Amino acid sequence: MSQDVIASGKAKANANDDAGSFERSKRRLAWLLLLPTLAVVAVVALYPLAQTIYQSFTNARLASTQPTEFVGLENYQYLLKDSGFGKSIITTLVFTLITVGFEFVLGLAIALVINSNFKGRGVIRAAMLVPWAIPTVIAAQMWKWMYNDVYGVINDFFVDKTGLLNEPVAWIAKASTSLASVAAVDIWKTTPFVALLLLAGLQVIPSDIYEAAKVDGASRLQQFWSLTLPLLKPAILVTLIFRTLDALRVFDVFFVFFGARPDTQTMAIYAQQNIVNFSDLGYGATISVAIFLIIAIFVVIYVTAFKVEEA
Amino acid sequence: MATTLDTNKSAAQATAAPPWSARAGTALRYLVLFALGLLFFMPFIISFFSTFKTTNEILSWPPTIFPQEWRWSNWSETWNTTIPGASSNIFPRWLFNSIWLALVVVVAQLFFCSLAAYAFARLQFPGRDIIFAFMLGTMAIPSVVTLIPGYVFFAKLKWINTYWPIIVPSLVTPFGIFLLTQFFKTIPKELEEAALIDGASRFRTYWSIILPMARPALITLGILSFQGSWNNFTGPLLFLRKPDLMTLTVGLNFFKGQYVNDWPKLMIGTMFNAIPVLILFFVFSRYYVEGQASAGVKG
Repeated sequence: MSQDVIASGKAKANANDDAGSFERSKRRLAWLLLLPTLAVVAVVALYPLAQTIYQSFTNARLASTQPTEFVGLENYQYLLKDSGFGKSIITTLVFTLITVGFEFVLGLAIALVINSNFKGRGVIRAAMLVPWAIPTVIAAQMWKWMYNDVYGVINDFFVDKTGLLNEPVAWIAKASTSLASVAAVDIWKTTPFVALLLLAGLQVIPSDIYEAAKVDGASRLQQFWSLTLPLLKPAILVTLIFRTLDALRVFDVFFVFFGARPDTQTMAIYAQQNIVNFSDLGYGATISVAIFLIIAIFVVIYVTAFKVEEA
Repeated sequence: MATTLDTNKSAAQATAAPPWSARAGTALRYLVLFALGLLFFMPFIISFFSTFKTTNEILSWPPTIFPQEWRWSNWSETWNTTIPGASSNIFPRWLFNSIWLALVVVVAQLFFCSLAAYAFARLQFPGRDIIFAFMLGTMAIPSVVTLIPGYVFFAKLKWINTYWPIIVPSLVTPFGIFLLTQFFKTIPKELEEAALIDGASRFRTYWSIILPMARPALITLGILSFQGSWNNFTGPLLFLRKPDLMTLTVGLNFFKGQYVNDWPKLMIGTMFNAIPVLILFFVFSRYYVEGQASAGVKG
């Protein structure tokens, strides 16, 4: 039998057998290529996720000698009644909607503009990236300083320099402006990144398509709607998924701006607070699982929406 | 193939409108670009001039743009910072640690992510779509989830105060694979099929057809992973305790006082954080633009 296989493998004349071994070697190659990825993903994502799901059914405490007990669905029952978590979901969703919306529209506009040929393009491209090159924690500190109601440059501009406002505003502390102030920082910081991703997508679109469209008399707007946007779809999907997931998991800007202020907690801050401040590892894990599920819903929505359009 | 020779120039020509509106459009474009550039650049400029001020002046009211008295020594003081219990050139040391870590991460990610992306984009194998979806799903895991179990896991391996817990998780990222897979799929299959029929190996088609064609995406991933590693905060914060081992982002914490931050040093540290990424992008954005065109010639 094995001799047969070897023989048929060697017999290049037999087309059928050759195709079969080709398929097999392709499969083996695929697994070989994926091996490093699967190993890393297992260690840094799957193992922690499994651990967290397990903990969400227990009353585990952080750094405690008290024995961990299995509590069934108790944490989940509590979660459903937890208005603090409900509030953090709304805060996070509003933040995500505002920032991803603005970043996508602005980023696309910027990508379209810097994709064309003009003098000083290199400088403008690099200048655009400045906000994104600054570490989030430090950018947040910088903005906190600019927003300050006593010595901040923003109030100086609106009150003293232009007179648009009568008195300084405590942008971060005031409930009505706090979410907008933190969203502005995120938009400022991340729009360049969105533009960079979309720009890479624009670069791959072959230019002959536009020439053909021009010959056919398509207007610029028509070219944009029926050529650029559809061809940009793979890049748009990457960008939107990545940005949405990041916005839903937002932590650092909120943490620097507000600490653990109850009215401005995001889902990630709410989970972190339960684990670190209240040492409630079990309940924190439950919240984390809920966050994971909420974010996963978004991934499914995006992927299916784009799949349906493709078909 | 020759049609793709000068992609960008012809792209610009294709979208060019009649002269009068083109000129108005150009003026408008520069105006918008200038406004946006200023908006994006302003905080950086303010921070840059602040590196020459005293902490008192940075916190004074009304705020100043230009320093009243230029303290050039802020930069040399930052460069020669001393920390108790650390080697004497601690600031250059942090910078060096950040640089080599970033380089390792960039090379690893470009290599491993592109291999996996090639498998997802070009090879048919059972379970491919499920594994791909699964991998995308891991992007939905919030960092609070991975932080504590990850720490415990690496601590068991006795990897505290080594660079392994920082390098290993960034060897390959689902995002990088996703980005490259999406781009590989947009590359026409005909080129490779022709090469395969001519007897080229899979590796050869990957190396000399796919990679050159996907240059904009590879450069994007290179810049993104460099920036990601350069600005990585939680990893080094958790695993590197000795000042000598720290990277720049974490080292900057020494400039945050218990009551008052050492603002000039923090700002200078920020400059060191931002500038390498900008230089990198400035240098590579040229290839970025040329990527597609030259790939067409080779193909």
